[in-house]
Amino acid sequence: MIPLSMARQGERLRVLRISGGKGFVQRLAEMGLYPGVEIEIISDGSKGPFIIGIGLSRIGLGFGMAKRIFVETLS
Amino acid sequence: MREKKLTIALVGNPNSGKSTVFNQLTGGRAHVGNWPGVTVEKKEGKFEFRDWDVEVVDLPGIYSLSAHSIDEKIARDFVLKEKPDKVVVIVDASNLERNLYLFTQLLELGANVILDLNMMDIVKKRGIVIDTKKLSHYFCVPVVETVATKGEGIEELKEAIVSDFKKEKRPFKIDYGEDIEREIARLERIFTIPGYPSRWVAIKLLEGDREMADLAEGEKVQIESQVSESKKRLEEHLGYDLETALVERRYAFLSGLMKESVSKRYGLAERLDISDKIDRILLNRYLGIPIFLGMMWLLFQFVFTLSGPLQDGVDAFMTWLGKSASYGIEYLRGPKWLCSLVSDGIIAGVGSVLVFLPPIFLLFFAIAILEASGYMARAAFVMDRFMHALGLHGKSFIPMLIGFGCNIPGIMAARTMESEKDRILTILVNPLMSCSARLPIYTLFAGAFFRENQGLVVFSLYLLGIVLAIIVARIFKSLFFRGEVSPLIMELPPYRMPTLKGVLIHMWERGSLFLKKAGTIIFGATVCVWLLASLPLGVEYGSKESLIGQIGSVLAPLLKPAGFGFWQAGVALLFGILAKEVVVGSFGTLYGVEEQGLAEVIHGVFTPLSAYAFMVMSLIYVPCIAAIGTIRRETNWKWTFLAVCYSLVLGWFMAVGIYQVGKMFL
Repeated sequence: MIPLSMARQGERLRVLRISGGKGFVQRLAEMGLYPGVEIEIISDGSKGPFIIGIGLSRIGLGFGMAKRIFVETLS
Repeated sequence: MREKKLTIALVGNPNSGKSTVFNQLTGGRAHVGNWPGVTVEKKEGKFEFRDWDVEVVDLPGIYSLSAHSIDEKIARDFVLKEKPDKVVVIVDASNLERNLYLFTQLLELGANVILDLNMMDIVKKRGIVIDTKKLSHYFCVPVVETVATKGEGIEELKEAIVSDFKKEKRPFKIDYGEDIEREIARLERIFTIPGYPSRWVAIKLLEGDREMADLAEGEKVQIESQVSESKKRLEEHLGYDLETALVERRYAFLSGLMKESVSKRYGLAERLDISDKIDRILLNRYLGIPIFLGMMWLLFQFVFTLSGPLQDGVDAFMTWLGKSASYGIEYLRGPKWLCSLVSDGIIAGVGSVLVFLPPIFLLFFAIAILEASGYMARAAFVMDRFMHALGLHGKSFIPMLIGFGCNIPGIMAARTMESEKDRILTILVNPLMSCSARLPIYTLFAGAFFRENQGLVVFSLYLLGIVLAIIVARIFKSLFFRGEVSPLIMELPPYRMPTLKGVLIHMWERGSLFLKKAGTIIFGATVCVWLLASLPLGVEYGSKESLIGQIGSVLAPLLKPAGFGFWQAGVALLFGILAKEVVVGSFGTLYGVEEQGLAEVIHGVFTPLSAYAFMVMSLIYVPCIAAIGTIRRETNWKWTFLAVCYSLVLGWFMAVGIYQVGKMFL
């Protein structure tokens, strides 16, 4: 399990846990990011903001968000 | 007028095509206002179908019905309290699972729902098949397929809206698992709020919904202890936090449903599409900002090159109109004061509103294109890191940038911010973005005193504005808006070609709102200024003896420490509150010269240092009256008062500081 901030472009991952304060979990869930969902890294933090692909939708994560989401690589 | 009436609401995620559906249903004619007490746009329209008159209310785009943001509260309240006959949930069918998250919450609320699967063209293109009958059967709601951009399915949607759905209604329930269900049942028994379904209330209380906790009957302390008891019990049992559990159950339910009704599930994007490839460039750490700045430069070029001649045209027309009216009244032997009132007061007043129109509408046009194409969403991210370092929210960059063109759309653009605190902060600081109306002032003074270094001097002023904005934002943040910057999480819709119709509708909606509200204020203020410049009776317009001249003389000693302690400067600055461009023109009037002769006159009464101080004053001192009116409209009197005060004080201090410190060294 690693924080999303360490993931790299092109990787495919599963979200395991989201650590966050009030409403952060809900907020991400409404956007489609929830424990169990499979995502793909369209663009990683080293090159700019994080862009996550969930199915056909794309979610951008601002500064500081990625380190609060924990993921694992898909086998 | 048809016999039967219905009221329906449109609900959906942002980017689900809800606005397009609204336009298709109502023919693009919307009545735009505000939801009472807030600045969120309320769009209403209507259409006629068979023997029905249907009123359509467009609710804000939301992702869920929690009470976290104003948009969600508005949508929620409307559905619960106004009880529209039908609620059409517009869903991006290519992202069904996520979009249905909101849909299920509406069902839990007990609303009378119609499911509109929009963007079916994308679904078909990707080879996905959705079993709409199954969905309809499962949820007991009518399901319609549409491609709103092409107008497909709209008739079927209208049909579904006016028809009675024959299927029997089952109350909708997601099974949250034994443990949670037990607590829900328990809380249901304890708490009732009239008008709200009890199960829904119980679930919301477990979620930690503030609004429900406040409304639940019984002692507040009792509620909190009951709920936290439930939470603790559950969390011990489940092993992780309740928030996550509820979310997981919901998606587990949706997942299961998707497996049964959707043929090809996109667990992962199977190939990068073109939007992704574009994003890798546009949001690239190194390329992103230059590209963005380039786009913005293009935007401003477009707006101001086009609006220049248009504004001159409006100016010329209004001047002609003023003169003709004067002649007309003289011809009819009307009194001189009437001449002046009509041409200097009323016509000038209307003129000063009309002259704003070209840049404002063009700016809104350009903004609408950026939004419709999808680029706006990216722009917030491009600057996010930088803004974060300044303690500001990434999304506030766009309103600031727009403010360089004109503060009014800049202030209005702050509506995109989810957090009220961030929004107000952005609004308060916006006037420090040197708007284009101040440029004539800089051009005049910099041209007269710093000929060789004009560009540098003007640039220094812009830079000063930015630096001050950062400092002021920091200070206000720690004084009034403590707390972390809200997270920037935004959906990035695929890039698409904006439709001319959509863009024009958008531009008109916002522009006409400005016209109505700011227009009345500017007009009123112009007439006021005319009064002050024309009284007492018989005095020369705008001279030292007139009321406004006297006020200017009162201000003069205050302006002395800044180097321009003469009444004409006071009057010019006063006029400048109307609209910053007027500062230059008023110097002309007061010294009795045309604009060409101004540079000479200026040399006589200013020094390079005091000229710079004057420019700094113009940069900061007070937003123009239209901007003040906009701030008032977007916030309340308290913040407006603060905005006016701090900018006056800051402007004065900076101008004085620069002049006094400068005198010591030069």
